[in-house]
Amino acid sequence: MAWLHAWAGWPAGWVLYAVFISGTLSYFRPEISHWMRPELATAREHPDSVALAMRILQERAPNSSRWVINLPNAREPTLRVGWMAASEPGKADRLIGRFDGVVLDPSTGKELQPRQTRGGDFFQRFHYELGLGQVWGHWLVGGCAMAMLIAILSGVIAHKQLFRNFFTFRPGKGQRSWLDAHHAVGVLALPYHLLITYTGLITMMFMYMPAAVETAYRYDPGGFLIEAFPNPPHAQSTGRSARLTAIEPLLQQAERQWNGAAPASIVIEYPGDAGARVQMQRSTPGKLTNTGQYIIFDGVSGGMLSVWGEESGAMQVHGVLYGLHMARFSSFSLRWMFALCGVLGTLMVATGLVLWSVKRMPQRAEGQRATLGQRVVEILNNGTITGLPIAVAVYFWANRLLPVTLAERPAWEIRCFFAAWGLTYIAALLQNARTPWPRHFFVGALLFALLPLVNGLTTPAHLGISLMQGPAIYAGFDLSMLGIAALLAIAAWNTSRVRPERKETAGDTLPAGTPMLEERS
Amino acid sequence: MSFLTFALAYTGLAALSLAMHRHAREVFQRELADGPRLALRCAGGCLLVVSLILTVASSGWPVGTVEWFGMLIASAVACVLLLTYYPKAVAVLAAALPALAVVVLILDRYRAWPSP
Repeated sequence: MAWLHAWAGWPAGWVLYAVFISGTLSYFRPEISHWMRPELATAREHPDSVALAMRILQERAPNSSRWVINLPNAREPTLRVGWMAASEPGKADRLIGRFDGVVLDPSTGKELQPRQTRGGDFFQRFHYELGLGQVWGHWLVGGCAMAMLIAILSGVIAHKQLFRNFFTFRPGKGQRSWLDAHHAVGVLALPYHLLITYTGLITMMFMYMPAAVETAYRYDPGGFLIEAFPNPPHAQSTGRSARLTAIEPLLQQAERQWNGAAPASIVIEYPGDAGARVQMQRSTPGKLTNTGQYIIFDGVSGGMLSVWGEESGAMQVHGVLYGLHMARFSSFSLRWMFALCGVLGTLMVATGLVLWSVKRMPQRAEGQRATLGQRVVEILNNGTITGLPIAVAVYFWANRLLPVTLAERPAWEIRCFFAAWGLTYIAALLQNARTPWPRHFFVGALLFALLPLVNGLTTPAHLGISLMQGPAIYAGFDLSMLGIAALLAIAAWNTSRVRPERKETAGDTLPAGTPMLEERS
Repeated sequence: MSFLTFALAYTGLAALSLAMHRHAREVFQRELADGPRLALRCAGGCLLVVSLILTVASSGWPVGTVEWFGMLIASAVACVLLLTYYPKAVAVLAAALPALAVVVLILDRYRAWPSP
């Protein structure tokens, strides 16, 4: 079992480390996106957002076939209003039209011009594609997730003293400590690791296990998706004009239907037409399932036409598993617990990777030349484990420092991310095996620690202001960056401690490139 | 999820850890007799169940169980770190957190009463 655990976890570990880091960041996707568009920092929630949105839509797009309103909430305090540009006569298909939109400050009604950036969406995409594109990315991440499921299950079986060592961590004891740390972060958050790996596979189950769908739907996956995940039907234009009903009463009706949960978005089809429909989508908090819940109203009479999102048992299971993976239902404190678990998962993979190489590499004395294989593993370990945090910090730095008018700005931010990550591998290659660990962790800690300063110099919302008057997202973001900096500083400090006396005893020599390893058990 | 349910989950896990010889040595500098160990085990288990019931009562089964697991993991991490670096604090917090939570709850209730 130990053999299976090691070889299921090892090559996949490098990928899983990236998946865990970007996945943990994705729990805060709206907050990161908001922070990365500092032009939106002044936006505040306002109860009259719907009226404001309707006014803008009436002014800007009175003849549009489709209005979309994304309402503000605490995590995304901006009001986003979009519309399908009026289609030219003869081109009736509204799906082909151009989509326009504005971002508004709900409290002032002022239009905001955010900078171009992928924001937190980048991490979410990276989480399951790794920048390799859909096909390669999905299959690579899926294969590694499968390996991780095997590694977790075999790890539980191999770790015989699961409960006796449940609370045990013995620091300062070399490889024993690494093993303790690996066990602790693995076992303590075991429910999370199992859940997140399994549900992660579920999110892509139709891609990984296509046989049943292909057989039943005769190689027509589109037909399957339409039946399994039906969208509310589209409205039909009648050509007769009619006055659009007032939206406010519909909002209250929707809240009653959803036991007090507010709508997150409103879509109005054919406003001003006798066939108008108003479709509201429920906001996510408090409901595990990820499946959209809709209510459709008649756009003229205001009567409730149908309720969507009450589905069959199988689809509910799918929706709940999917929802558990995304954790969009979480309250503030629960989201932080998910994030803590994500950090534990990241640590589990990192300690596992280091343990694998420590155990398998023949001990070699300082100064002895490493074989090519040893060097490759050392560089990949170091560049991945220390490089990704550096890349994340550089991505945030680039967001603040690149010129706002730069062409292809989102692409440049992402290029900075990958360039920083790649440079870490090169830096690891150029140094001898042990030194990059504390150095790189220290660089990462410094980059994260200075982010609040960079933010303070480039935006009006420095930590002193955001802590006292808000925006709370900025205060939270800056404090989180300082927290990450502290974690990386601890890692730098731990990896820099090497007891000199250990080196002298023969047979107790450390394999180079293994930080914090002070004696072999 | 509330401060009280978190405190109960933490104290429950702390009690379970103190029922183990190794951690009793770290915290009390001695091993406990079988009687107190059994009592700690029962108390720990009961506290975890009470915490689960309270969480489910306030958030419902679906979200409540997820929250309970989250609190369990967070308090387990706290227990391990405290046992390693500040063993004495495990027992102190195990007594102090629920007491503090009850005080907060009473103050909250008092504030929530409609003023005449």
